[in-house]
Amino acid sequence: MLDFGILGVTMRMATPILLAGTGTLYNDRAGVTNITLEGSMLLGGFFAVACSFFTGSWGLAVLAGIATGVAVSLVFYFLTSVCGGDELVVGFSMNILLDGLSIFLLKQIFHQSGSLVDERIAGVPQISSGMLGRIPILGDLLDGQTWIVYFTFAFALLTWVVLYRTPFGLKVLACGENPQAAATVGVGVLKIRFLCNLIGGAACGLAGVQISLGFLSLFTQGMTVGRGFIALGAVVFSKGNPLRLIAVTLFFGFAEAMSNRVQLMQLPSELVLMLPYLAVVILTFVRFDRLRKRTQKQEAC
Amino acid sequence: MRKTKKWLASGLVFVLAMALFAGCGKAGEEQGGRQKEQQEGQKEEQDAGEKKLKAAMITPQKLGDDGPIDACYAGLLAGAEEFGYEIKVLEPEAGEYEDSIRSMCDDGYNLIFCIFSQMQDAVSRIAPEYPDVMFVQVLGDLEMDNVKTINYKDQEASFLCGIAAAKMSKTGKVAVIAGAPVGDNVRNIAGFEAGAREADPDIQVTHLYVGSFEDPTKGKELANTLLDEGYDMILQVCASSSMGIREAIKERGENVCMIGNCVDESAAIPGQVPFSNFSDHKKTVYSTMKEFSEGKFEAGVVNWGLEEGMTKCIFAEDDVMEVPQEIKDLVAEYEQKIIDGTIVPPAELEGE
Amino acid sequence: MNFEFRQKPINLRTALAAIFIGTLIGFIMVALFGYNPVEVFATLLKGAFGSTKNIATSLRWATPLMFTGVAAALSFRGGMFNFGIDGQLYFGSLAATIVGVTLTGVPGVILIPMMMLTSMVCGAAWAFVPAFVRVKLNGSEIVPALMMNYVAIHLTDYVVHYHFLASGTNGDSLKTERIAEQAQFSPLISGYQLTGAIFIGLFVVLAFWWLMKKSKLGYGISMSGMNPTFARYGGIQVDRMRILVMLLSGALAGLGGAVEIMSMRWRFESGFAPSFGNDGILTALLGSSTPLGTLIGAMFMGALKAGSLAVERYTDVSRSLATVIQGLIICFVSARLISRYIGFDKIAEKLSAVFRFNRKAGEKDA
Repeated sequence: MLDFGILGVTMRMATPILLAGTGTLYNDRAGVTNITLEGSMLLGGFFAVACSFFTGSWGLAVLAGIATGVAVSLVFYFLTSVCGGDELVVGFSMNILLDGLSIFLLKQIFHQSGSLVDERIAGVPQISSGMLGRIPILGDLLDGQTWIVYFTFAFALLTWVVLYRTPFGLKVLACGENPQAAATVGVGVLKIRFLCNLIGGAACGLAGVQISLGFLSLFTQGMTVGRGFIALGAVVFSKGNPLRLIAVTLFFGFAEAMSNRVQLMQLPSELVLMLPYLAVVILTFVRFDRLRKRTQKQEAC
Repeated sequence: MRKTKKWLASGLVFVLAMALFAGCGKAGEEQGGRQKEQQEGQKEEQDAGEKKLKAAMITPQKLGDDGPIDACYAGLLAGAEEFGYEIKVLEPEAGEYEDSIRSMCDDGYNLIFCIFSQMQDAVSRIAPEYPDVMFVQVLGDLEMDNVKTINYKDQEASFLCGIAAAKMSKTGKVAVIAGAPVGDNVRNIAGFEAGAREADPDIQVTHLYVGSFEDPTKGKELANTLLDEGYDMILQVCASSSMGIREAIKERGENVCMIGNCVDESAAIPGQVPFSNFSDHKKTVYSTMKEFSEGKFEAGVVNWGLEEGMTKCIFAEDDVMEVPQEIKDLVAEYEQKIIDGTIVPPAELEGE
Repeated sequence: MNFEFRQKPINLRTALAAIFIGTLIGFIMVALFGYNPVEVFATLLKGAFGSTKNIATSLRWATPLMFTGVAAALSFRGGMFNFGIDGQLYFGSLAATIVGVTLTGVPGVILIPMMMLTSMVCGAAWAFVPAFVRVKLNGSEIVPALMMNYVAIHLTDYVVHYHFLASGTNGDSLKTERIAEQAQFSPLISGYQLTGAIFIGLFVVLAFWWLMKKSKLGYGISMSGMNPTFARYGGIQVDRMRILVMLLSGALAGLGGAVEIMSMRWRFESGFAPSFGNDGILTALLGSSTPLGTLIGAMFMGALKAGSLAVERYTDVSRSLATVIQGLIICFVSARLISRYIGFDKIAEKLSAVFRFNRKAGEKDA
């Protein structure tokens, strides 16, 4: 049962979580609490499908998804930074709002109430070549994935470099650690936060595209089923480190991949479906437990 | 002008409601009072505009699943066109069923289709309050004076599908992906597994649950998991979630097949749906509407199967996908056996 | 990430302006898709207030929101963001249902309080986990609370399916048997979906008012919510307050579910409480977490729900229009500067006066 095929599934399932998580990481490090991931992904996925439906081109669809994510983050920025809204409240209500909006638009544009399925919708193509598939392990990992998967992991690694090795990254970190100090040394805090917000939005939009056009080529209402919140959890646990984020999201991806496999053993399906979410809850304990011990040790020293 | 009408209408509604309220007050504790009042009210309405045929369909799953719900809707449309019904479809969320059914009754709909057993509780509570309204409960066990409950012997058709699948499978592994471990899904799985074992005792057969009827992402992942394990015939029993299964099958190519459910799905993936586990929801709805319009509506519980032709294993047309004649013959042979009663497919899974 | 949450007071004008702008955007959206917005919103109003029956329906949907709304408001006052209301509600109500299904011989006077108590204890237990993470492990309560919603939904499904499944075809959709007859509330007026549950809801709101206004404990809660550092200096054990607030919040959520089951459903059913938790949070946010505000918020949300069901029934517009409007309103309530920013403030004052006038007129006409 445990062959290497599961690695490919793990990567596929981890991708949207990692992508949205990495985007939100920028927000996190710049000191913005943006929890609109779920709504952003959902609406991004919806507009990507809609665009694919009308134009038949997955390239334009990807752009539409990213643009939607950016637009959502702009609205978020406007409501919080400009209009003085509470980040948590606005984020929470925007999640509900965007979920409703996707259903509203689905009904009003396509006159469908559950899901949008059509021949005209072009999915993001999967890259598979005979050569790649024949390499052991690596072939299982990389064959038959969309380019978004490759991009996501590259993006996460790049984020590590950007955050810790470039002037821009240092500015971002400064904004998050101590905005006042950053402002005094001439860092444009608002500008940096604005940029981070845009990056986060774009990443969430693309994550939505991976769910709606990468996994499948259709849209169903609420199709992100809490993945945005899982990504949020991953960001919290990784304490803002992209490498740790990769590890955490791979763990979630593995939990989700396993939950499909475990069903073959005829375990109660409800318990199996619970697995990925339970993994997040358990991780909350493990991580913070360790953290607490470490800080206690430091205090003891 | 329109506005005046609207205010007039809402005013009227208000007055009517107040009248009902007053009637209720007069009747005092007596329970029948309100109902009588209502019956009279409805009668008056009917006399004014002759007998209006109004049918509503209330479904817990959304339209557009290319499965049972769409089949029912097709029946409703056909019936409306043929017999002049005014129709309405509601898609309430879980927990809002009672609200929706009640409002349809209040709006004068006199034939109400309640799809799937989620509705049973609400129907059992509302039906006695509206004796003039006829309810059709698809799947369930309600026995009431104005409720017709329709069940299918899904296991009979899926038994035949199991036989055909076992014969067609090249790897010797067949599977079912169902929405949830509930009534009709379990009947389908039980019949399918028994049929597959009947045709080939060595066959490997399993079933998985998506956990939702509206989650194609999960459906696709499960289908891929099965295909990776070498299963090459997959029966889907999961409404909208099956959209994901379709994609997985299509991407995998010629060697694997999906078995459709409820409707003839052979055109959905040409060449990869050899046969479908068919139950005739469309005909059910249509014929009920016909009966009702002719005044022959009969309440009671019915259980339809192969014998009535309401469930069957339906093969693809030859130009879409060719199925070997000997399989068709074998299925026909077993069909006769089931109708004769020499074989009774199980309706329940062992150990669950 | 900073998950510290402090409820800011909201004045009536901000709320009205937000409702106005939110509705206006809804209006424009409907018009954009070629429908007559006046007609759609007239349907919405009629569905909410058009007849006694519709008003009863509005109140029926407002009732569970009184529980979840107060649950959310209480957690906000104590400086916690209880995202897990849905999970606590499901878990608590399943526990109550199990009591109601098994102890059929107990008279209703004892059984009903027993069910309520069970639901409260279990709801509180479910809420303890995120509170523990926040207070003892120094983490954020939001993520575990959110995830535990999903866990609770699947877990209750499992328990129902394998241990308490109803016999016959009722079990087809993951339901338990009906609870004992003596614990079932019957409608106040036959044919209306209104039961004694609403009085329990009002009582909960009243108790919330008493707690916050009259009791010492309430003072401690709101102090530790408003300014934890200051509260610590004042000798209030903030950590204990936080746990207590979450437990109370979870207990109320569980109670809401149990009451919903006793009054409307009479059995536990998979997915019986569509977004009660989220709506409760919105209710509390709209009502500025005050008792009166939460009550009015619950009524408003209930009316919006009843109205949106009518919109779905009688027009081609999706019922999620109401969800969108809800979301918009809460966004604008929080982002209060929006009216000033778009030079709306002065107009808003006039408009809110007009709106108030219109609403009065509308009520008179209906």
